Amino acid sequence: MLVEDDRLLAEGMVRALKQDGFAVNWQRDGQSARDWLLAEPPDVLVLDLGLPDMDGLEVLMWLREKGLATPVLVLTARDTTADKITGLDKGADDYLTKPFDMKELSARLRALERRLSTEKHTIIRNGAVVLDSAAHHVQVDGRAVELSRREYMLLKALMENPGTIQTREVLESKLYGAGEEVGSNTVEVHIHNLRKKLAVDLIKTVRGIGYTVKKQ
Amino acid sequence: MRSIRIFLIGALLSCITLVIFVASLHGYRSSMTELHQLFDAHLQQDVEILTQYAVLQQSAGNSANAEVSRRNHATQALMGAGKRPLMLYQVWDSDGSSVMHSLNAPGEPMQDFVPGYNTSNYQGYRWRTLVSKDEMSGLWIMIAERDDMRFLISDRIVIAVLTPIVIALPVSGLIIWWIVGFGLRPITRLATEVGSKEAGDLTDIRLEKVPEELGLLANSINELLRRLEASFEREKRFAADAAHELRTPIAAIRVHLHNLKNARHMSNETISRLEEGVERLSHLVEQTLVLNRLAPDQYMVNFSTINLQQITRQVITGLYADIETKGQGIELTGEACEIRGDKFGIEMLVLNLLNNAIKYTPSGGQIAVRIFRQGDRAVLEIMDSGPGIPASERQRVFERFYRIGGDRHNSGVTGCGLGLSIVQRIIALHDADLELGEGINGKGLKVTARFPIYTAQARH
Repeated sequence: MLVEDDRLLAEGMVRALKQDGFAVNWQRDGQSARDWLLAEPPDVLVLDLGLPDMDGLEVLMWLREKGLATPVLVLTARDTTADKITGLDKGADDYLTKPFDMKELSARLRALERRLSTEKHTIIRNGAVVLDSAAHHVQVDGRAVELSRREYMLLKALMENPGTIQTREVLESKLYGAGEEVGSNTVEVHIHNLRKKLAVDLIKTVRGIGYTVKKQ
Repeated sequence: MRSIRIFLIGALLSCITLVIFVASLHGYRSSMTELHQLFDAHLQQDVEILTQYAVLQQSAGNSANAEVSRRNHATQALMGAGKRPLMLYQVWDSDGSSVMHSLNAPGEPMQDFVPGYNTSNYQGYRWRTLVSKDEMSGLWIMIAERDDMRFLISDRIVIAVLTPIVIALPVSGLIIWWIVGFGLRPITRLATEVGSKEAGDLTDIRLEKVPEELGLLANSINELLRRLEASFEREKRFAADAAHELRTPIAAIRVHLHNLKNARHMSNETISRLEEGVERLSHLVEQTLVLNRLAPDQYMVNFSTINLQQITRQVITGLYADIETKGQGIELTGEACEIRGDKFGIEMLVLNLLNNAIKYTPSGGQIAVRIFRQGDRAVLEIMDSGPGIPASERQRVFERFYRIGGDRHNSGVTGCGLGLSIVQRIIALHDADLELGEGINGKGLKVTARFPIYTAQARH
């Protein structure tokens, strides 16, 4: 479902999303959005914050109060860090500021959809490396590779976000729960082991920043 | 006027001194007149006594010379004529021969034989003389008194009167100092109150027991603060509204452009030109909004402690897609440095500098970012292997909308020429400085930003 009050933008988005294979229900104000959310809960909600009858955040809070777990991507012209934090605190799953790239919106919607329905079964491929998140199984050139739990989680985090840098802090937070003791160069050690086990040039170090996996 | 207090004390003390001076001058003059009259009256009395004595002497005949001489001495003693006689007299008969005189008197007549007061010089002094003729006996009596005595005495009187006043002057100065200080205290309080306000604090100033005159001033200041706050609020709202109003149609154009491209299943020249135009417009809007948000007045409020390294890392992470697309290498070295600043501003600064480095460095080039301490400064250094900026252009690039070589920029990169203006404004807001130099291996550009470092000591 798309909630956006600007007709010009909304019509373009509806068309583009349809082309990308999404079925779109477009609503122009907060009240009708609420009605439709109850009647026909969508898989993903794209929510503009500046609506004519209420703030988009109100729709978001109302949704979470109702206990609906529908993934929400907030779309807005506000871009201050404070606004983003508020949006995410209120229960948004993702945040995109206008003007955005349609391809990026589609990609993020697909990611939200994946998180929702296919958590159980996804195969990520990057060059010679294939990661099966359902079977917790990794193959390089068809050869199975044995990884420890943390090495596997590290590889998954990197392969799920190709073309972006994962900083050490982000990776640490993914590997370890809150309060767990983390050694100062644990991530480096795991990466080192991963590279040895994979034996292909997949993980790239960006000095001083983090690690990345090339986009295919 | 440097200080009201010093001005008031100076002015008051000068006035007091002037008034005292005029008053003493006047007092000196009138006491002189009084003294003159008093002394003259005294002289008249002496003449009368002397006349009676001389007449008595004459009628007794010249027989008793010894007696005369004795009395003469007695008179001498009476008149106080010692070694330095203050008074002398002569008595002449109508023929002009001397009948008697004080020992110190000259042989010649001291004055013309004309009755009345006069002055004459004798023995190196100035004398006040009184000449009188006794009609009955025809005797001329001349009496003289040292004139400077009168001034001496009146000087003493004036000094006696003035001394306590002169001593009192510094004392009154101190008292005035204190009174003025006491009177000015509400102004000092008001100044402290206004001065201690945080940069973004636009609430009313509150003073208890304000004097009437300052109450007006405090009210005007409060009025001004209220108007300022309202106008800041308006401006902020305008920026937010403008952002929304500008971004939404641009987003719409982009989406439709995307659809157009997909519908034709190919990107022809016109569409990519159109995309370029929209991209530029969008960039310009973003940069203008950033510049607007960095207006200094509504700014300092959000200062917090910032880890420069962490922010830079975040910005690089956000930009990595562009870096990867161009196949550039990037590295971040150095140490963690804390500064005081506005998070959004520092983010924008690093973002703009890095964006420039990415834009102007050719594909496969290198970008090196270094953060380190240098004395009391936290230094951010961004070096690239791009074309660099010639020394002669390094000043001009900070001007708004200026682009090297005009719009036909030889790098073929589009931009709006606001990036470095934004950077410079942020630098100024953070009391930092910026320097452009040569980049990697003497080629390319090196941008060095130095911020005041924020250390544990500075926290207290």
